[in-house]
Amino acid sequence: MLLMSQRQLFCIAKAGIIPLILCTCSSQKLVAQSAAPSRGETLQLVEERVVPIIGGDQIDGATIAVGGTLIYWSRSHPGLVISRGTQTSRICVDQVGEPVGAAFVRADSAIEIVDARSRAIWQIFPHSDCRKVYPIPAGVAEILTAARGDDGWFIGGVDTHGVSGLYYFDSLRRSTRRVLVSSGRNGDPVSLRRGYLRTVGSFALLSSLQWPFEWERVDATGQRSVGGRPAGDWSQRVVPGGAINQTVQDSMRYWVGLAAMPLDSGFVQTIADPTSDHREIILYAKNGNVVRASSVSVPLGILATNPKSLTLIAARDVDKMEIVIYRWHWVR
Amino acid sequence: MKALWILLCFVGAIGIGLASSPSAANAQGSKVCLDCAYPANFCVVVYGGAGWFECTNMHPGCDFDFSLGYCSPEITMSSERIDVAPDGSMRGVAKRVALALKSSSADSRRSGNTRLNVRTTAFQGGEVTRTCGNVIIGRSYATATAQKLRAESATLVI
Repeated sequence: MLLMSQRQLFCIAKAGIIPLILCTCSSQKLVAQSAAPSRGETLQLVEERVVPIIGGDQIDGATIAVGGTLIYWSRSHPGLVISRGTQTSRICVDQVGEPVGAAFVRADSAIEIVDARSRAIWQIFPHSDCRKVYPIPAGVAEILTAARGDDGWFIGGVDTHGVSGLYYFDSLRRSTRRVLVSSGRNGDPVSLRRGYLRTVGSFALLSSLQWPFEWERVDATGQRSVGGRPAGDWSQRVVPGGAINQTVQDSMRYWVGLAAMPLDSGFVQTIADPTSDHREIILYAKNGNVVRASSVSVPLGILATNPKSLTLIAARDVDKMEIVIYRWHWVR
Repeated sequence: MKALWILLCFVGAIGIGLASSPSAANAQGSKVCLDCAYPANFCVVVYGGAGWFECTNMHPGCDFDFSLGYCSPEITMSSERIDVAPDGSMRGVAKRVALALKSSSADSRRSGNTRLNVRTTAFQGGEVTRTCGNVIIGRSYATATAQKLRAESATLVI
């Protein structure tokens, strides 16, 4: 593995040249990228490259820049890994002890990282060291997860009374406030101890890993809007005839839901049977309705998406965890 | 007086034996996981650098205690937490691992931070690599299977 300096990596990242691999099946017609998923269109994911995980099988999150530079991290490893093609390096190792979220910012020219150990947001530019830009307030006793929206960070945390909730760090005002509190019920997407946090534009996407795998879109004031509940349409499809007998329903209760992610139009989510390689990938319309579910018999889960570059990142574990980078197309 | 000491030692030995039996471990796990959705005695296999172990009552997000595999050295793990791996399988995060060999005393225990991968005994993927009686405790993917899985996921249509 060729190790590069951070400066070199950023220079390459800014060049942003990736060969576009398109499916050339003659019977399929590519649809304009702004098209909304409908009954007649399918989402096609074409593998573009595979990135082996360095430092063991540990990965908790990843994101990819428009230019193709990938970063991934794990709470159990200091710093984060930046990868471009076969060239990989670990950055901010001395400053970031327990990363829970990272994002490209400023037109992908810099990276911000939320660190649960130093309880701070860090930033790194191409020609400088990792520097602390904002401390997380003491009211957030435990930092669970974080994801960056257009104007600031959403942070899943637990307060000093043990109540989990969603916080928002406004980058412009440089202030943090709590925007949602978990109801405490099983399957509440706000309970981020058992769920996931992603973003779409300036909104947070909260997903529960428990049945019925609910997810919802929340803005920086805590207003909930779009949401999905895949266990309705999807479970009807999984069971032939539509009738869900108790045994099947009971077994699906032990499945796990991964994070809902934004596409250029609509959303996508992986639901997994942890006792097998069976995965259901659920495609949602913009309003959160289930458009389609597709079965996959591969130990694979969607980690992140970049709607600007139509790129999707998945984690695949066939005895060795690896990241698979897909390019997506709408096919009619 | 001597008879009293013999009696106390005898009772103590029985107590230690019961505490280290699988049934005692299951009961302890069930108790800890009562508020979780998984049924009692749901078995999973944990595998990591140290080998394969069987344990009980795991559920994503559930703090629990479990103990011991029949084919492994006697191992006790405490304050475990099961997470979902990014591929949708489960993995365990051991906050504290205590290795207690059968013949060892308390001071021979050692602990440390370990992260383990978890899959259920009923896991259907891959090939069986190790069994313990009728229980499958090890699965892996053969090279051909791994290649097939990679090829199948090179293009996905949803």
